[in-house]
Amino acid sequence: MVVLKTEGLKKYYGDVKALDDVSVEIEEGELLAVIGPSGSGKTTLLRSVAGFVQLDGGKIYIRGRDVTDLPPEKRNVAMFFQNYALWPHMTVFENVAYGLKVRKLSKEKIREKVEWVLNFLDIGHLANRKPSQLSGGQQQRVALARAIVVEPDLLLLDEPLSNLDAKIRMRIRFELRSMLKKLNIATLYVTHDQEEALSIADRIAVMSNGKILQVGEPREIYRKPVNLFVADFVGVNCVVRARPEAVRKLGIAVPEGAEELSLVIRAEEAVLSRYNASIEKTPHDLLLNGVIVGRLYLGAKTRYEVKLQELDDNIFINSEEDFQLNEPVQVLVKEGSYFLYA
Amino acid sequence: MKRRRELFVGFLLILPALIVLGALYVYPLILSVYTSFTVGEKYGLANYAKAFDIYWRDIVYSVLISFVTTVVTLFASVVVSGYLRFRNWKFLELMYKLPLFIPFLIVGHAMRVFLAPHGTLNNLLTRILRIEELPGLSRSWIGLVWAFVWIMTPYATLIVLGAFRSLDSAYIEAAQNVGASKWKIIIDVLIPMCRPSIMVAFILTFVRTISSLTIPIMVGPASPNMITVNMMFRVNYFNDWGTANALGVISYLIVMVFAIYYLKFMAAERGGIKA
Amino acid sequence: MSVRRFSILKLTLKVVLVFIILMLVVGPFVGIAIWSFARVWYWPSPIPQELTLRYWSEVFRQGRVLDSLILSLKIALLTVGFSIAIAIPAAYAFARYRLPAERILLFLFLMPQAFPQLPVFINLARIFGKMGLRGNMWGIVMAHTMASLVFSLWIITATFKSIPLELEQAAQNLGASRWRVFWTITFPLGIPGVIAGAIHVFLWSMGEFNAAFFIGAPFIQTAPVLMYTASAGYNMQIASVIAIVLMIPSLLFMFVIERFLKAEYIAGIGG
Ligand SMILES: Nc1ncnc2c1ncn2[C@@H]1O[C@H](COP(=O)(O)OP(=O)(O)OP(=O)(O)O)[C@@H](O)[C@H]1O
Ligand SMILES: [Mg+2]
Repeated sequence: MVVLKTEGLKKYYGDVKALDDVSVEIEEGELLAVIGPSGSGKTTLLRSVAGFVQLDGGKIYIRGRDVTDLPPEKRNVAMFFQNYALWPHMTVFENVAYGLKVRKLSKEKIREKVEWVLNFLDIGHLANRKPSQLSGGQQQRVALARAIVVEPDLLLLDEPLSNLDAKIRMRIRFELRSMLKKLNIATLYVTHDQEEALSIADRIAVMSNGKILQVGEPREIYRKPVNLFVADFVGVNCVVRARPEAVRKLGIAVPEGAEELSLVIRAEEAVLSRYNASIEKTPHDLLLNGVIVGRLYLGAKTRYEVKLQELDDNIFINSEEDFQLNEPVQVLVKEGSYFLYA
Repeated sequence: MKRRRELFVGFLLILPALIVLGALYVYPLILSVYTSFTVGEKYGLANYAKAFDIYWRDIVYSVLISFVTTVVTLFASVVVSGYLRFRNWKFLELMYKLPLFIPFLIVGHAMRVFLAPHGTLNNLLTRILRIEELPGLSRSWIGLVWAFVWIMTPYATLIVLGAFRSLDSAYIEAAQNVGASKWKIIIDVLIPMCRPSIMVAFILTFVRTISSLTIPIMVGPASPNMITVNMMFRVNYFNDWGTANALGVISYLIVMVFAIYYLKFMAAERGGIKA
Repeated sequence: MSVRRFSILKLTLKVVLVFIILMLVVGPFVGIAIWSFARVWYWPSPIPQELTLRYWSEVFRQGRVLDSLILSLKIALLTVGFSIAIAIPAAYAFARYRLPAERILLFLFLMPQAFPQLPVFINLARIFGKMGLRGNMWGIVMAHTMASLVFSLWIITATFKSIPLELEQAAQNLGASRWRVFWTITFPLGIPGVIAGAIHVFLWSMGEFNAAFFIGAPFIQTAPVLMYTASAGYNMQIASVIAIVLMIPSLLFMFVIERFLKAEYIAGIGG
């Protein structure tokens, strides 16, 4: 069943099109991640669904019900705030119980539900603390508990992990995914970290300038980006501008009539090897010649700047092997790790 | 050495203000306390005995009027601030600020005309309700509270609305999100989270009501009276400085707890920022 | 259809609300505005039976109304001068200097807002009486300077504090003395706050009653004191005319200093 459906959402701030004809759908239990660069309209989309943005056009349906003109408190969607927004004058228990009190549940029922959700999120022992006495990670769980205890139709998360440092982030990312899967709740998840989106989402929507460019499963977004922007936004890439003749020489089919082409190479998947090494390649793989022009020691790996002979451009590739400056090398880019756009 | 120099320069800069305050505020203040304990050449509590004897009803009355005024004012300012926190309404924004700078005395005069038995308000109401006569509110405790609330609400609103507006919207949206109505958000989130500012509004309203002279002489009833009016009578008609100052010191004592809270709170906020 | 009915209901509600607010806020001044033109006005007529401009003409004619207004204006201007001149150095010290016994100083300068001021004015009048300053304009100016100092000081302190310290340090860094830094950096940036403070003191002094009454009356009468005497003697027309004249600058300047408004700073106003 479709939980959320938006149709042609529009929102303008003066000349800025924060939302430009945005349509998305989320199924029961599905986690849709919205990614895009800063200012692309992700937060605006999320806040429109929550009801905090006055739209200039479009419709929002939740479980088939038109909620476009409903105030936030009548929508039954739960939002998770980036800075958690836990009320400092209430205990953890009171924070979580608040939504249930508003819904006028009985005291016993409230106690039962709050205890369940706190235990489910492993924070039962913190019930009587004030938010100021919690660590960042604990606060986050309380905020999540407060959002899900009211059994919302839809959960909205705006960059929930951006306040955490890189190491904890990795761990919480997996925890969050498994918690959401256990709850089986439809989720709209906004982030500008494409790696986070790839690892956590069932489907991904890529946004830019208020438009949705592509929606699909992570693998599809990564392997079959529909345009240059999407291809470049996901993964670590190198974009090379090249003339059609140069590309044709590499053995790739070139679209007719193009003046200049953009070749996106997934640098994270390119393999660096010595000039004379023998390399197995299929006809669709790309084998390029180059020279090492810069190196940066990273610990386990070294990051090399390689000047590509055929394309007259530089690319950054990580490798465990040791190469010298000015050493000639070969770069292997497998089929599906490069994309060509006119 | 450098620190000593800085202390000295700072002190010099403050000195003129300090002299003015010392001579024209602190000295009369001490004099008022001193006078309240002297009768002729002797020291004693006679002035206080007299003040309580003649004016105990007025003292209670002043406290009650100030308290009622403060409660009604805070209620009104929370309603206005709550509304303006959620919605922009230029008209209301203008209306609540309009009375801010109008001197108390003028408000007193205007209210006297407005609330008189045959005043503007009754003129209007008798026509709307089609009644012959309505009692006037001026020269009654209701009229007095009315005028005080009218004057105090803008200040209180300025403080409360300022606090409401500087509160991060996420706290409000989080409550809206789990289904709370605007009223519930005001009561459960805005008021508790802005408690210090509301406390300041409470104190300022109370202190300024109980120490106002002009409003009660313009619109208050002849009896009972606010103690400020009694002070004026004691000085003007009886030349009785002892009792007047005893009443003054009593008014200090009534606001003492509030004043100390206010001083501590403000001193913490106004302290200097230094490199 | 139901949506439209709902919005009509809402509109009606809003109109009623606007009417009530107007009646509450502006209503009191309609009465005095009409009174200021009334010659004969008996209940239950909604407007005066006879109108006249006589009382308004007194504002421009030699006599006690004009005299009292001029006196009030003189006192207010002198008060602004003294109050601001004394407040500026003190405000700068509070904003930027380490001070000896700072907490006590802060308490001292905040006290007049936290405690009733009337007893202080009464005793000041007594002191001035012994010094021959009662019934003297300078006595009122001194009292007003003291009472306005405690709010002009905080308005200007807040302005100085809001100027980033780095701006001053950058100038110091280039070799400017503290004195020079103040006059070339801090003061120019603080001018809006100083002006706001000055306007504030002016409005307060023009409308002040307590000090003017106890120190000045009955020998000299400022406009508010004359207004009080007229109103107490049921001379509604004169009282209303003065009230309106005194209100005009308050309403005009409100818009000028609106953005500097912070209630704690204007707590000095009252009476
Ligand atoms: N209240 C507002 N007033 C004016 N412009 C706004 C407002 N809110 C958002 N915008 C503009 O709308 C566009 C989209 O903003 P939005 O916050 O949705 O971006 P985002 O994708 O969430 O960015 P980020 O990754 O930085 O959070 C931006 O250009 C922004 O400047
Ligand atoms: Mg955002």
